[in-house]
Amino acid sequence: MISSATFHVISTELVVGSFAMAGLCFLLHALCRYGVIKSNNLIQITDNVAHFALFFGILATPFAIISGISASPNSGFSTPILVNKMFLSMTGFGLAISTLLVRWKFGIKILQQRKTMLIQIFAGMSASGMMLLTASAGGTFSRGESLLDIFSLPYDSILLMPITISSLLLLSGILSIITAIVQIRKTSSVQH
Amino acid sequence: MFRRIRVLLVFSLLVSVSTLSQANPGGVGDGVFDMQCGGACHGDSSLNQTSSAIIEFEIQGTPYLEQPISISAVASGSQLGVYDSVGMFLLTDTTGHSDTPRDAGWEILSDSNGGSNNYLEGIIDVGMDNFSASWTIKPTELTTTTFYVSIHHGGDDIPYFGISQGFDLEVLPIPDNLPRIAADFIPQTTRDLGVETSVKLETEDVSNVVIEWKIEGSTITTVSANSSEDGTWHFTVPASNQPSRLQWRAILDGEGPSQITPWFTLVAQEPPFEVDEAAVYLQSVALFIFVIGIVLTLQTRFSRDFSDQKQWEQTEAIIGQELSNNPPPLPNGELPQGWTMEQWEWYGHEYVNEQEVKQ
Repeated sequence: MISSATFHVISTELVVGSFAMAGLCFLLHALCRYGVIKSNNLIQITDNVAHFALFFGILATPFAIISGISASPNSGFSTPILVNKMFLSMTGFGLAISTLLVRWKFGIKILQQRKTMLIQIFAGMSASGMMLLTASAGGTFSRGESLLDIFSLPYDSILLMPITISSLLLLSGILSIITAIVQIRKTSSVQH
Repeated sequence: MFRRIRVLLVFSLLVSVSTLSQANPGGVGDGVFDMQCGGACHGDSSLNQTSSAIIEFEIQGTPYLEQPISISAVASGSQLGVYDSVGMFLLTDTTGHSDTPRDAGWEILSDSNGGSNNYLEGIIDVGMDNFSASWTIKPTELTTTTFYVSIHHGGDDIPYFGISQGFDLEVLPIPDNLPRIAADFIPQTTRDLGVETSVKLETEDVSNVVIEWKIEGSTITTVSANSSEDGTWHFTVPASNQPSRLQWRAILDGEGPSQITPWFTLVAQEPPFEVDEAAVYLQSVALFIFVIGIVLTLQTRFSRDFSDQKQWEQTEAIIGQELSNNPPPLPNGELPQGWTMEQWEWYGHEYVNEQEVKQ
């Protein structure tokens, strides 16, 4: 058996690698769409790779979170860095899932219209960015240093909302999802 | 060709600015770890090299069952003076797993960093070439245990590892009427800055307690402990305005021979970080759900505009239909030589235009 610390290292490397690749492909896709890179093949390749890498990253994320909790030397949130890691990873996880859901539900046409393509790429790249920040916070916590230290990120400060505001945010999120699902089903029934 | 060279140059630059290292230069923090930390302290234990540090340790006290003793260790050597961060283990065998004192039936009551861990990290002061640590431990079963102290440190991007000679300790049963600390006594290991601290001590077969305490670099101060109830004693140590380590021990008098406890460490430190965990979990879930909702809503809205537009916008289809349904009349009522009807429907108007230009 391997220890949870080692398993956490393995799973986080999978997550970070997948999300980094997805982020890079989303960026390349945007550059292709705007004609900065002129390659029709790359449009399709970056679309496929970005979403598959995102999918793989999503599969590995729960393992990273669970093993991270087990590997933590003290139980609970002993430092602000761990709180920030939680916020960043959950936000990135949500962005990644929604990006993948949209691509699956709406198909290729989501990348053929300017507005939806921009939202898709922004969400995908944000998910990658959040996961890379989470990994950076993890490096700062475990080793005391990270590549992103050059930006002097404020990992020691947390933005903790009151429970009421968090509950409202949660409620509005649930309502948004329900509304979106209803709209998707309605659109689907009209087209078919 | 030029593009490939450019890509190659960028990759070479990225590789050259990175460093290859198997160690964790920032350490992993204090904890209860096996000798190889499960790969956490040093990335790959098979890459460890032998440290030239000399490790010596001293055991104070008699190992009676459920009674504390202390182990003090010092690692020294010129190699240590070059690097500032060191990790030190208290171990009970050298197999690399299941080798913590707890695995051998010993409980760590306190350590010199203010916790109760077998692995301690610290920084070597400038100009010094030694690192010291101590543990107060007690046996929970009658057994014989071999103790080792090992050290981890880095240098030149190489992880170094060293281990002391073993020292056997046989646990003895408690003699009758021995003045002693209560078996379930757990010493306080930390306190907040700027607060005068009342320390509680629980004893058995003790009629009088004298406390000796000292702060690093100062002389020993002696105070008498006050008894509040049977077997419970209290004494007060002054507040500390900066992070520091205070050590104390008790001289226990009773019907049996007087006993001196090992040194216990009381660390003054900043108050620990505290946060409402329920609020953190709720906000995390709220952020997760909220971003999903936002992205789905935006995409649904804009893609609906797109599908509505496509649903009603049929201009191209109608034009195409008209073009395909209204080919020009056939010249002389028959197809030109080599043409099919389908070609005429699509390209017939071009043929008519060419004929008109020729005439």
